[in-house]
Amino acid sequence: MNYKPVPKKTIKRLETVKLPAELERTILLLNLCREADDELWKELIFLYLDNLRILESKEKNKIKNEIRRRLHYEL
Amino acid sequence: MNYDMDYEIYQYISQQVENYVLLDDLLVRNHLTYHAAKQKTALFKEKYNFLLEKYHIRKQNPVMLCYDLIKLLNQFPENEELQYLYFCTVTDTGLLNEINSDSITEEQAIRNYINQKKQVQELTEFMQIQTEYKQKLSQIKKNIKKSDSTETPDCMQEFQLLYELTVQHTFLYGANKNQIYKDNLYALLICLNNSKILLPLKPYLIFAVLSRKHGMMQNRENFIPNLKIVFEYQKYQIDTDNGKNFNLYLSYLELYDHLKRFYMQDQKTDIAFCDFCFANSSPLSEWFFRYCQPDADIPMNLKQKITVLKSLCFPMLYCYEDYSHCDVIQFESEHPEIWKRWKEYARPAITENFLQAVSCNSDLSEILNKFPYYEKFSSYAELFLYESAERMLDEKMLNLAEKLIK
Repeated sequence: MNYKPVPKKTIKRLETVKLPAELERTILLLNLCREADDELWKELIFLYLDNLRILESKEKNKIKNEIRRRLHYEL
Repeated sequence: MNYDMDYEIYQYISQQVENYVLLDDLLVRNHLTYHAAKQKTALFKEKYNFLLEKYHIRKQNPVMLCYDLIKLLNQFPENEELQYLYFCTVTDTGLLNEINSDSITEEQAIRNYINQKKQVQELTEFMQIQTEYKQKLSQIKKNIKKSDSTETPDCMQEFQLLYELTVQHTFLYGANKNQIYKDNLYALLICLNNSKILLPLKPYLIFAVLSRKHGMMQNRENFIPNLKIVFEYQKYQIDTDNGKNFNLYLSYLELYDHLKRFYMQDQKTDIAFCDFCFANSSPLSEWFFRYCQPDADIPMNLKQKITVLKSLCFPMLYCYEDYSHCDVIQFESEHPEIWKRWKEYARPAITENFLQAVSCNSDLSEILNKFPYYEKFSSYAELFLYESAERMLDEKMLNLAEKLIK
């Protein structure tokens, strides 16, 4: 048989919940920098990481060191 | 910044870092040494500038450049060098048109070159394939009425499966156990299977007939759809959701996706050609990329492809730093009546005048004075006009894409 069975639902609408404006702007800014200015993008990433309140300082430093290693980024 | 915001940013950063490619790896992947990449970057810039000069395209400011390109491509849409300039311009992240050129490092230039070169190549190849299909389709349209019937093959099994597949879609629920629909679908299938010309386009044609003529297919006995008409462009209102239309479009898209999957292993059908017809015969593909999760294999036309690949900063008409003190989102929520008034005033004619003024580097105050800008909000008014102008220029450049397919 040449015909393939198909699943019922294959397309999903995007979430109708809009992202908070501040988050949208932050992501746009980071995307713009990633596209054209690698150094600025790395600087911003560390700046945002510094400002995160969901991580404890010890954990934050560990994550920052790992990211620094992955990006070959010297402060 | 609340917990969710922090969490989302952390997630985003982690994902970006995960996907980050170091320059050394990027060079290896592209079979380049640092020195060779540097040379190629310089040559890439040189070629762009040489071609701009050859066609007397002014690059003093982005509006001038785009206007000159639009004018030339309207006159000579098939000129490959102009097409190359067009793709380079829309994908430029600053390397070619020297945006923020003071801060661009050698490494950054190489990165931009490697990425942009790939994008230009991808767009060029995509355009060539689209052109081939357009020519092929025009031949089919010419010959569609000529009889090319072959022997009628047995297609009962295919019909049964196709019937089961189609009636599960919301807009065809009434077709379930409907004898008229069954007969019409069977007749359509026989017609397509009997035609050497139409057979490769079977998934697209079934989709187009069912989405555009589902009423007739269910209610009129012995309905014979005009297959020439289903290649014509069908308009749909994709800007606003009236509560029904978007659900219908979702159902149409699913039908096409299902038909594609259903016929995927059938060697007599040409899925890539069907995709071309689907992407260019209605705005459903554009609707999908605007409102749906982009994980389904829905085809795009050249305009959509450019939208996906063009640089985020194109077209950049003003320096973001000059307006970094403006919080537009806050302004809009605090002064909705002013925002509404500006929207009403920023009609195409005013935005066009503003673009012309930017293009000539002339004084913008004359246009601003005609605009209800309110003294204390003048920066916001300027920014509003710049953003409207950017959208208009972007649209003008994107609309050009349709002309490039011969």
